[in-house]
Amino acid sequence: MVEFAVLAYVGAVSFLFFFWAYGFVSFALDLKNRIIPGIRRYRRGRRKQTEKERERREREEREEQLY
Amino acid sequence: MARVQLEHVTKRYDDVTAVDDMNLDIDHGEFVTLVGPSGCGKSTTMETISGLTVPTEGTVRIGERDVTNLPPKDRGISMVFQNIALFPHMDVYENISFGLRLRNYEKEEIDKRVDEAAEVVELEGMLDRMPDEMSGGQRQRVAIARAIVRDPDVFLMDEPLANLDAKLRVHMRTQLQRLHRELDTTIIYVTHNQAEAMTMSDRIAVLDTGQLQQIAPPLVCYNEPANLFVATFIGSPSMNTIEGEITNDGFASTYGQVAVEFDPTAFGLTPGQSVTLGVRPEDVYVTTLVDDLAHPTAPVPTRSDVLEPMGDEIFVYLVTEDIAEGGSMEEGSDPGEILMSVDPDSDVQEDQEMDVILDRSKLHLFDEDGEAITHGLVEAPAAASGPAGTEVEGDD
Repeated sequence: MVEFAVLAYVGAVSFLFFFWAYGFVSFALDLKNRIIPGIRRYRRGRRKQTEKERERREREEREEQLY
Repeated sequence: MARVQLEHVTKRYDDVTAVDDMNLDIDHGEFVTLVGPSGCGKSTTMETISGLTVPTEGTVRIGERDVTNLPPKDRGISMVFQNIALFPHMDVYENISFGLRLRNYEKEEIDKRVDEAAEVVELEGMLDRMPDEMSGGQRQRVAIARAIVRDPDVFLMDEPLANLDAKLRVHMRTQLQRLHRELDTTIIYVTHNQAEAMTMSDRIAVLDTGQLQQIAPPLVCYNEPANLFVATFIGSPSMNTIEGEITNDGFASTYGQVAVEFDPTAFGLTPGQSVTLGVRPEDVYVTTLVDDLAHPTAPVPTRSDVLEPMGDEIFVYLVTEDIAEGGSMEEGSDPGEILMSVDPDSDVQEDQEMDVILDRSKLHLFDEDGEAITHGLVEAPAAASGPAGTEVEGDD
């Protein structure tokens, strides 16, 4: 009876450990493949947008000099 | 004096060359139009002159000054844009006076200049209106008034009539010509509309793939095109081009039965040389409809395919290849097609067999590279690249 309880306990802990570890690995992979590239993409987009906006403003200013 | 000179101007964007070694010399008071298909570099050339873009290579001079690296405000120029670009929250007076207020002019001077500019473009009494209360033509006139109020040395106009309807465009065309006469200022105008280029300009500069093809008065470009591109681009409908080769007796077409008799040696041509013959639709005649052509070619047997009645003339699409080869033309190819323009009262029907003749004095010959060899295949040949006022880009 005691052996069964130990086995059940070890089995349950192993089961939980698997999903706990799975969560860590999954999160690490998500971080590497999705979250960090996503942040990089977002920052790149913002940079481009800011640059475009700056170019547009400069162009507008130059055009206004021709009015 | 505001002479505008572009010396070896090149503009590159990464690996795309928008303007390639452009040389232009525009005199004070001239109205020069840059014309060409989309993407030919005409707007980039204009932006280089205005200072909106700095050229990768070359020099821009306005008057005696090198302005290549100067900002637009220091160049003594005004520009009218295609999108009009009025400030929607300012009334007409404020829009017109914007440039003057930016430069801290006195109020009396601003009032005087705005009144004068409004009079020139016929906007008196509308100075307190807002842009959204005005028609497209009126808004465009406000933009023009805003440009002239500063009394610039050079006006730049980048397709200013493109957004107007056809009737208004014609009206504004005449207004711009009057304006040019009144102001006696250099105007550089960009358009892809041939009618605007032909009717308003002292000279037109034809551009293609960033290179200047020809700069000359409109009629010189029309009658003595420097190359095949100018020949087919200028004129509506476009010039007929007939491929063929030089024979001992003159020219024989590859398709159809177009033959022109002349002495090839008189034009420096050798038998067997591949050439392209160019003839404008109005220089093609039905033999039965014309008696007194001084230099006719041999009759060319054709069949009328499609008629396009335009009111003041009829465009007749003639097929020569069918008759010559007894077969039908391939879909999408027109090697044997000649476009002819006839009077609206001419008795021409569809699918009618007819002989046509060409006026030899109005024919053009182009070599394999598309460069003009001669204009007119009679008597002494005219130098292709040397008519008065014509400049041809030498290193195209």
